[in-house]
Amino acid sequence: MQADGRFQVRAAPEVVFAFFSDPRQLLDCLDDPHTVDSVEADRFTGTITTGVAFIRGTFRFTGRYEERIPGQPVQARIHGSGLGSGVDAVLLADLTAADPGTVVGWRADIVLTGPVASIGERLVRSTIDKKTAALFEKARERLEAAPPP
Amino acid sequence: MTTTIHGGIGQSLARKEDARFIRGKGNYVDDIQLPGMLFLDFTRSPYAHAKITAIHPEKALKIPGVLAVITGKDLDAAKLAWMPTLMSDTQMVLPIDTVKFQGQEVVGIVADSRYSAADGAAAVEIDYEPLPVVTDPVKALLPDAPLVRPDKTKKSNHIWHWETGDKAGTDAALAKSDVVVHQDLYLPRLNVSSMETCGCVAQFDTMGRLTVWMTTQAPHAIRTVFALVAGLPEQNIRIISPDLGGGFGGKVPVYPGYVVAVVAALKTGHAVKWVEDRMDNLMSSSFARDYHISADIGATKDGKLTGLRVKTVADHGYADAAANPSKFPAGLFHIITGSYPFDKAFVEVDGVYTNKPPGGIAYRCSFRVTEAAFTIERLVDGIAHKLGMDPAEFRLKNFIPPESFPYKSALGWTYDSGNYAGALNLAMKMIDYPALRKEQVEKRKRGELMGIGISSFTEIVGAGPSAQFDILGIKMFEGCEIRIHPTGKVMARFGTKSQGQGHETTYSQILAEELGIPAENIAIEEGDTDTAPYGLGTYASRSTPTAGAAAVIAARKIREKAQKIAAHLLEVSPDDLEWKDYKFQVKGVPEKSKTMADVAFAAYTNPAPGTEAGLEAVDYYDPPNMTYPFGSYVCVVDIDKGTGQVNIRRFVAVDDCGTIINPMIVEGQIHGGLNMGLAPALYEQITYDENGNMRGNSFLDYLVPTAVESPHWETGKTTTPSPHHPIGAKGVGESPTVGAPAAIVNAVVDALSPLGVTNIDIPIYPWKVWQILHDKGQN
Repeated sequence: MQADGRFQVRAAPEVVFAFFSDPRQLLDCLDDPHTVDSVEADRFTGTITTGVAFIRGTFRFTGRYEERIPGQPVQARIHGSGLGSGVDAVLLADLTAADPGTVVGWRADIVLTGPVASIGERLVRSTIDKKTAALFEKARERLEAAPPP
Repeated sequence: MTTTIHGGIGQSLARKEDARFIRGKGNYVDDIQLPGMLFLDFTRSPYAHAKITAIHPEKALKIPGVLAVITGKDLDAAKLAWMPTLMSDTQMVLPIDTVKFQGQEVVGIVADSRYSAADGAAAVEIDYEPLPVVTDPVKALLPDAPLVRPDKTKKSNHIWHWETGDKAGTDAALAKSDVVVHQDLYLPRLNVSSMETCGCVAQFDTMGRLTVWMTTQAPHAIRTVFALVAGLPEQNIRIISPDLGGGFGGKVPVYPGYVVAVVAALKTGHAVKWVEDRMDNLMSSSFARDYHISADIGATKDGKLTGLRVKTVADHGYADAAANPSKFPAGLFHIITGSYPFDKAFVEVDGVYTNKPPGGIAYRCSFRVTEAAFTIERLVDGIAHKLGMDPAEFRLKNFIPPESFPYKSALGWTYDSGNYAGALNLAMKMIDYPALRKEQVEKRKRGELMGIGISSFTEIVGAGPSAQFDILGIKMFEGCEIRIHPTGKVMARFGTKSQGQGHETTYSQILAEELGIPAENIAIEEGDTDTAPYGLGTYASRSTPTAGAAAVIAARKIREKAQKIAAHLLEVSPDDLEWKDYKFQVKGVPEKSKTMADVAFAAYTNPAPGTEAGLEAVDYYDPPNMTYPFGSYVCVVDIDKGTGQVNIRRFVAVDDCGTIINPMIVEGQIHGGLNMGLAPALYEQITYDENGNMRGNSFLDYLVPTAVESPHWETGKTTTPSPHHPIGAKGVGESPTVGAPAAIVNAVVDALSPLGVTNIDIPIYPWKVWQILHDKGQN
């Protein structure tokens, strides 16, 4: 399942890059209750309480940055499990300098398995669209609210 | 004047078992409570195919009440990680390193309450490495498909190939035919959705003897499998199948939960209960259908059938865990020539592994007869339409005539008896077929969509003759043991197991008729391997054809001895007696007689010289042939052009199951079966997405028709007894499930045929019809 989008943010590319390279800042944009338990080098772990419709529960996740080089797209791979279900996601943010700020093209490739995918099958698509869009919208808001470096 | 006995054959006796069921006094597996009993639940795989890299049970073990976890590695240490299926394949009890389908049991959690067990199951953390998934059996046969069973010597997803018939002759017959119709059909995967899910309670006593209360349709076969899997002496295993809330074939296989519960009981020293919830059941219990069929049927231009060729891919999931007779891996699919005298026919089936749950038996299990009947009845309709002939007229022209029985089919079966035209003519009369066709013409002129569908199916049940039928080498006989007590009351035990069919009533009626003892004085017991004679169980409509026959033969053995005792009491020669009006009478002197109750008392108090005391007999019945029930169904549908909704306006079902023992029970069986035929036609299917996620693992999505969706079923009957069954009975349970889907689909296709529609895949959801109408500019 894929979701994607593009937005322009009034922040310099290096600021946006730093934001997307920091799992704590990025994951803090999630609307769902969550924790970031550890951040070590390229890897991070935590939990998120989420779900589809009434099927909700806590997922523990591990993440790893696969690409995090300035000037290139930032890409992170996340694996989570909970509710007898699994989620594997690849998040990608492609940053392009613009005037003013930065254009962020983002894409999320998500594979859900287990009851969340089965029971919520007809609601998964819209839920993922909604949650990913909200994540990146909040990221934009945070970036624009942040004081200039 | 005909003498009758209360509760004899042919009477609509109220069901004896209902007295407890309707008062909530049934005793199901989940009703069983034992002191100190523990509970088992499972952590299941979210992946359809993945490597297990680590299992972390620590958090689960910290939950109050959680006592133990059981993994595949634990079982492997005891050589119990794998078990045989009833098809001589192997399946996992718990996986050691790889999961094969979504919902597979991975870790067993044992706790002191059901809630703690469920919490523990949720707390187990398992690390997986996803592997490529294949859920389409056709794709699974491609060379680059992910290998589902690398443990097998054959490095392919192809399990077996089976064929029968005359391939060259059929090809030639079709080549010479004036008309040939090709049709691809798919019968989707289904779940039986019985009211009671699967479960068990396992307990070892202080002497190490195992008792398992289990939801099984075949307790004896299960005991034998347990003995083989666990290496326990068979006499130290007792399987008790208490009241069952439906089975429909779904309670024939051995499930991992049964085995793990036994291991848990051994490990903890406590009784252990495992009962599936609905999602567990939908995700992992045995399925039905999943047959991909490609077929050709030929006819002459004047409408005589010439040949039938069928190629099928059978999706078995990750293991062939069906319960077909050993010689027939595709079950009795070769009944596919149906009610028609094909000279040439050929059928081939390939079994395939995919990343889905194993199985292939369930849903009024039918040994693949439903798939066969659906195919032939769809094809016959298709070729009739192509020839421009009325489908009823076409069938009447082609039926095997009554005088041809016993009839040897092109694919090897010997049909025992039949009168197909009789059944169809009655159905057409009941529904006033000519008037419906006239109405249809008028409606078509007005642009309204009305369809009439026919299905004239031939069933094959009563498995089966020992020369051809066995499961894991055990011949498919069926046993009955009768004991008449001194007061003339009867206890009869059977190797079959009722799941709601009414065996206690039906068997009592057979014995009442044969022994002259009122049905209320006859107790029937099934399901306890310690007391019941060996039998292969109840499925595929086999109980009355096999165990019913065993009851008759055992009763007649008793009558033989009883005649000697009666002669002793009447001081005449046994040859001077006749069994008449349910008692032994001196020939020509009917006032000199003895009832079976008189004889029973004497058997214990005054036995005839030279005879043993007591009055009992056992019979293991090996049927000489299968029985072949049949029927003709006519369905009328109206289609809403705006929504695509199919409305079944009328449905007439004429069944012929030979001698009817209890008309009320038979009618109930037919109503239930018709609903189970309606279900795949319009509602039920299980599908999987590209990741192997099951779609429809709750009743939110798996649409079981309720009373609201069910039309008014109109039933009729003809009676053509089986010549080889001792009372002429044939069995009926699955006939309506076999016959109904084609009638409904034929009706829908008939309604849409003016638009050029020749097929529509089941289930026929409104959106599919709407889409067709939309594409044809009709809405």
